[in-house]
This record gives sequence, C-alpha cells and structure tokens, in this order.
Amino acid sequence: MYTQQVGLCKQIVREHYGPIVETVVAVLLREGRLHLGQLARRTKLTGPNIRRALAVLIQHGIATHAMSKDGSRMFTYYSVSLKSILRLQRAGLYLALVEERMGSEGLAIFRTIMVNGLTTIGSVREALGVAEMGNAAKIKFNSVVAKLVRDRYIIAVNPQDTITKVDRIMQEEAVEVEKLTIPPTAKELLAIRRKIIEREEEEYQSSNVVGIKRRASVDISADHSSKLHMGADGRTNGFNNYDSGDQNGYSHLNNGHQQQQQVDAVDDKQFFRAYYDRLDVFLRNQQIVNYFTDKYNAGAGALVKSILRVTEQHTRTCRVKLSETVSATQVFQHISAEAPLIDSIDTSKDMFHQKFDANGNPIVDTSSGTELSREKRSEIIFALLEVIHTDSSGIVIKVDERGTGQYRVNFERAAITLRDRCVDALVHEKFGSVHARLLRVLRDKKKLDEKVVAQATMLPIDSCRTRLHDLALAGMIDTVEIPRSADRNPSRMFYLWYVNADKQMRSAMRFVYQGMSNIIERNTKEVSARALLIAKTKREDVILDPGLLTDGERKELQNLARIKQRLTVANVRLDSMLLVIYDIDPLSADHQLLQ
Amino acid sequence: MADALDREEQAALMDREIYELALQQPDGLDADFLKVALPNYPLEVAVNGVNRLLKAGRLELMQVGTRILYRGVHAGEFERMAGLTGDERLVYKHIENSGNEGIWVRTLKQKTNLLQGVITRCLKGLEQKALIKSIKSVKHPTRKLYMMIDISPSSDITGGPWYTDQEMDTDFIEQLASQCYKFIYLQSYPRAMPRGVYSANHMAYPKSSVVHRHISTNGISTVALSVEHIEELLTMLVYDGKIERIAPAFEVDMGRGGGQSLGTKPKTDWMYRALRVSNMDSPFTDIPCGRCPVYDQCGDTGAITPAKCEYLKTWLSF
Repeated sequence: MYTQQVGLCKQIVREHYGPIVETVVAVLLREGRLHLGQLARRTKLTGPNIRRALAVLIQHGIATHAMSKDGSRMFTYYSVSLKSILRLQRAGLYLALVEERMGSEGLAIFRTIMVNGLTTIGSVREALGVAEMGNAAKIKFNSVVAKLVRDRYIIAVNPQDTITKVDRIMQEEAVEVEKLTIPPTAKELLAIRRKIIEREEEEYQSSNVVGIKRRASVDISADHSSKLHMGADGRTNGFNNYDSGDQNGYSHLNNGHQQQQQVDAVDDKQFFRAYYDRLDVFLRNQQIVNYFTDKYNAGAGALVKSILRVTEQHTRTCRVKLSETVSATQVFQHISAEAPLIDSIDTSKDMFHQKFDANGNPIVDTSSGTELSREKRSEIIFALLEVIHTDSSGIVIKVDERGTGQYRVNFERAAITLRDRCVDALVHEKFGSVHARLLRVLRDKKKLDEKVVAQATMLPIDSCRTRLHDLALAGMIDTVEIPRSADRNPSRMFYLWYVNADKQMRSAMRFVYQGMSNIIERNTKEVSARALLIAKTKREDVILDPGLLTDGERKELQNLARIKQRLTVANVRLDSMLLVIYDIDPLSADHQLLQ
Repeated sequence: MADALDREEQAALMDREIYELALQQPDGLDADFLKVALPNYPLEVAVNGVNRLLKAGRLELMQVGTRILYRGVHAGEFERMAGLTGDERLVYKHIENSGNEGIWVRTLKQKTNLLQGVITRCLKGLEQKALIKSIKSVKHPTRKLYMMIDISPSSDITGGPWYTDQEMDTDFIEQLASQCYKFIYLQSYPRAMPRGVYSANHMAYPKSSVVHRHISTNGISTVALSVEHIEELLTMLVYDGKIERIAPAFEVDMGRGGGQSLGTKPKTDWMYRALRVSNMDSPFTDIPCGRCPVYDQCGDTGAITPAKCEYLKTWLSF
C-alpha cells in the first residue's frame, strides 16, 4: 500500500459517500482491521454514525466483517478492500460496457444494482417500476436479468460473501482440520488449502448459476411472439422498445413443427451485486483490441475483437491465462458485418494468396471498393489472422493447423505486452524518448553495465549514466552488485543495471495514483470555488425559472461543466493505466484473490 | 698509409655488403647467416662491421626469443632518426610499433624502463620534430595516446563514424536514423491502402543491406558507413519502438525468436518493418502532471498542491 494510494482512496470515498464514511475508511486503511470500539476511539465519531458508515460500505462490497476472539470476548472486526474502492472510479466505463453489450435495459438494471449495492431483483423491479409496465417490458426485463446473471455481469451474494475472505478461508480450513483425528502435517494442511481454493473455483466455473432457475417449458408460436412485440407500452428505462428479434434469456429447442422455449428465471428474493472481475475482463479485452488496432488497423482490431467475443464466455476473470481455442471459421462467422475489412491487407504480392487464370496469368481483383464478396472477405480474414498470429507480441497463438487453423489468446503475454507498452509511454512522457530507449534495451538484454548500455543506445557514456540515474531515481530500473573480490569492496564492484519488474510496476502505479489524486483534488477545488453558484442552481425558484440566472452565471456553469468533463476524462484515462499495469495481470490477479 | 687506406676501403665495402644483405632480410639476420653469406670474411671482421653499422644507426638490434637479430634501417628512416638521441630513438621505436592503436605514456614507461621525466622530454622532442602526434581515445578520454604522425588512428580509438572530435555526434546519428526510418516506413505499408498492411508472407521488407545502399547511393552521409554501422542504427530504432525486426523465413515467428535477445544473432539477415507511432501517447500526455517539474513535491498540503497548481489552471483555461 502506498501513501498516494491511500490518499486517492480517501478522496474517492469522500466523493462518493461523504466525509463520515471517508473518516471510517481512512482509519481502517491506516490501522487495518478494527472492531467497533476501536473505530469509535480512533475516528472520534458517534456509534450510530460509524454503524451507518459501515453498513454503507458493506452494502457496496467495500467493507467486510469477521468474528474473532480477543481474549475472552468475541468481536466483529471490519476491514476495507482497496481494490473495491479504486474500482469506483471505473463506474462510467462499466456502465458504458454494459450498455454496449446489454442495451439500455441492461444498463438500467445494472445501474440500479451499482447504485444500491447488494440488491434483490425484486427491489430492482420495484425501483424501475416494471410492475406497472406492459407484458413485453416485463418479459424483456426478465430476459435481460437472466442474461446478466448467466453471463455473470451480476452475481448472487450469500451472507458468507460479506465475511472477510481470509477469515472465511481460515474458518473452512478449521472445519477441515476438525475432521482429522490427529493434527495435520504440513503436507496435509497444504492439501486442505488447495482443496478450499479449488472448491471455490469449481463453484465459480459451474454452469449452474446461483440465483437462477429454469421454469417449465412454454410453447411460443410465431403469433404469440408478435403479440409480445405489440405489447410494449410507453414506459421509460429502456423496456418500452422491446424487439422480438432479441431472444436473450431463451434457449431454443426445435421439437418437430413446434418451438419450445425454456425460460431462465431469476429468483426475485436472491441478492445480487455487480461482478467487476468479469467486467475487467471486457475492459482488458478492449485494451487488447486497441493494441492491434493501433499497430495494424481497424480490420485487425475487429478480428481480435471477434476472437475475444467468441472466447469470453469462458474467460470469467483476469486470472485465466489462456483463452479457449477458436477456429478461423468461427472468427469468420462471428466478425461484425460492419468490420472495416476493405483495404485492410494487401495480399496481391503474396504467393499464397495469388490466384491464376487458365493461362497462368495472375488474376487481378476487380471487386468494388465498398462491397466485399464472401470469398474476398474470407481471404482477408484468413490473411489478417496470419498477420496477428505472427505478431511479435505473441498474444494470438496458432495451436493447430486443423481446418482453417485453431487460435488461442495468451492473456499472460497480452498483460505483459500491454504493461510494457504502458510503462514505456509513461517514461516517454515523463523523461523523453531516449530514456524510453534505455528502458527497452535493459528490458531486452536483462543486466548490463553502463558502458554496454551506452553502446547499445548510441549515447555518450556520461549522458547515458545521467539518464540511467534518472530512471533509477524514479524506480523504473535498478542496479545489482557483482563483486570483483571476496571483500566486496564497493570500489571494486561491477554495478549492472536491470529492470526490476515488480519495483517498476509499483513506481508506475505510484505515479498514476498521484496523478488521479491530483485530478480529484482539483475537481473538488473547482466545485468548491463555485459552491454558491451551484447552491443557487439547486434552489427551487431557480429550477422553476432558469431565467433567474444571469448571463455571467450561466457562462460560469458552462465553464464548470467543461472543466469537470476534462478532469473526468483525464481521470478515466489514468485509471485505464491502472487496469493495464496491475489489474489485468494474471499474477497480480492471483495475489488479489485474498483481498 | 696505403695499407690503412686499403683497410678502410675494405671495411666500407664489407659494411655496404652487410647493410645490403640486412635490407634484403626484413625479418633480420644473425651472425650465423652472415658467416654463410660472407664466406670471404672472418667472423670477427664481419662482427666489427656489424658494430660499425649499429653505431652509425644503419642497423638495429632485435631480440627474438634468445636470438639476436640485426635489421637494416632504410634510408628514409635513417634520415628521420639521424638527429635523435638514444632515448628518443627507443621511445620512437615503441611508438612506431604500436601502429594505429597508439601507446599510452604509462605503457611506454613500463616498456622502456625510462624515467618519467626522460620520457616526457623525449616525447616533447619527437613532437617538435613532427615525428609523432598525441590523440585521445573515445574509450579512455583521459588517456593521451601517442602514434606516428602519418598514421590514422583505428576506429576503436576514434569511435568510428559516430564520433566527431572524439565526441559522439548525436545529431548526426539522429539525422541518419530518421532517414533510415523514413525509408523503411515507405516500404512497410502498401501505398494504395493508407491503413492497410502487407500479408504475413510479405518478404519485401527492407534489410540492412538495402538501407545501406539507400544511404550510400543517395549521398545522405558524407562519412563512409558499413552495413554493420547501419545495423547499429537500426537496432537503435528498434529500441526506440519505431521499427521491428522480422525474421526472413516464413516459419520464423516475426522476431519473437523464442525469447532470444535482440542483437545476439547478428548474422541473421533481419527484415525491418516500421511501426505506426501514433499510439505512443500516454494518459499523462493529456494532463500537465506528466511533465510537471515539481510532481514529486506535490501533495494535498504545503506550497505545491493541485488546488493551487498554475499548470493545471492554465490547462483548464484552454
């Protein structure tokens, strides 16, 4: 945990939940897990205030609790998760993602769950006023909720989930140890721990999703479908524009001439919460798509997007290191019709793609510039697949030549490539291109003496030395000592420069935390400087008659909106760096398991 | 009197014969060789002749293992050495032997066993007579090396084409690298498709030899450059993230090379593809914090805070 990280978390909590909750979070971050009495002493807040603050935090999945014995008494200890707090910054991105994939209906449901924290679907239904809507909107609501649950955008919560994970694992471990007649050996204890982790993983990977139940089959004829189509009324929240073409939530069974459907129904009384780990997978995938779009073109990006879309059903968290196998034909079938494939690859000089007529002359493609024939489209897709799988990053790998080829995405390589690229861009921005060059040389050649670094980077030795020290001060590189004599005399020592990946990641994150913290603080300052004006806009008379605002005040409000937008965009972009540097790395995701 | 004249003439004749024999043997000759080559003269007489020639500076002594050899001094060399003292001659010989690598004063002192003051005096004398010159090595900028005045120092000493006056010419390097990048970029993407790429089997990406030809034929550099020099430049561009290496064979994985480090296989005839560098911006590019000189001192309290920041104020007022 870094000072900058704690400062940022405090600012985020203050922005979202106010100063009282911030005080509680600040103490819990500083001191670690505390019980209510300790919290009261340290925060100087009243008991009810602390309880309410903790209730809010638990409701939103930020705080967890666990019972533990202290002397002869049992206490409930509370702790907060840094990761959950930092994710609040990503709310806008998550909502945009859900809207893109689930439409406005999915967005309305997801937003309600995000705003309220742990919520039952019944409460969401109530909040959105689904009961007063028409049948079509109700069916749409049910199908979207079922899809959100099945695709794990939201996940069922049980009372155990609010207990601190470490304690929960310890409790389960204690239960397993109790079953043994003699105290366990170290090997047995390790096996028990592994079993607990595996059990959790199995539950997660299971196709039986908690909170969802299958209803009896219903017959749906074409007429019935059209009735549903007409049943939409004019209610808001996106449920009024029901489209019968969207059959989310239904699994089709062809049974002779009659169509039967099995409806996934979500238990109304089951509590759900937004599942951010799953959404981080989508954000990570978007970053991978951006990488290929930047490096090659939008066509290559669309192709990678299609691969990831096909595999993401099985990629539930960033802990997954390799995607499922996808065939080139699947990619061809799933790629969007609007994907910009025209003029994305030149295969005219490629002997493998060259076609010849009966006389042995090469056939020149004469298809028009805007429309692609199916044959040409498949040729482009297969050629682009070759390009992306031979990319130096090694993100897309070809596992088999069967059929048109089988591909997988190596998420570990992707995380490393994206992280390195992000750190390089950071160094490039903060220090310049020459420093970025030095960093790349050290990353590629591992440990080097400064003279060799100077030679490889074509820099004068003194200038190279200064730059290396700049990078070392910023924590981007490190030195290792190689003694020339047994006495390890510093004057007779080789000092080799190298990239300490862990230290580099922490330093980069510190920069980002500091940057985000600065942006939030500036935002607060800009808002507080116009507090009187904002208060005026909230007055009832001003709401009823906006003409009460002067031209100058209107201009100032516009200026504030512009500033806030600029700061928000900057913050979201900085947050994407955090995602790339830390959150999507399968290794760090493993470390975060216990948080 | 006449006998004396005869003896002198005879000695001069013999000296000339020995000198010519020595000039014919560039690796030197020894007493046994003289005995065979001059059968008319007794060995003592021949040795006296050798001594006279050594004294006159027409021959010089060499030791190869345990053997003592005599080498003839050419006329031009003899003229140069004529005005030198014995110490100067010794110093001069060592400097001459160092060739285009030059010799450091301390090494000279070790080899000649002369005192520092004597060596300094000799070097000064030789420099005044325009026989030697002093240079500085790019590897050891503090060391003064001496070499013959008519010899050009080796590229190890001067640093090759990248150095001007013993200093790395970074402007020249940048200019040349930029030309290489432009040349590679033009051949990396199909001209008819602005956002298009070549297929994975495209084999016409430029190689270092092609870039070298481009640089040489277009007169971009006045300094003579070899393919290795161009490869150095291209490696620098790879590390700049502007180009990437592609293995020339179809089945090889585009420079990934199974984790092999770049530059470890210089014999591979790599192809080079330019990267579109539009994506180098960082989120820090958007905000002034990226280049802020007081970023490390910035906090929520004190004189430097985001709330009071002038850079942020200017940025937000745009």
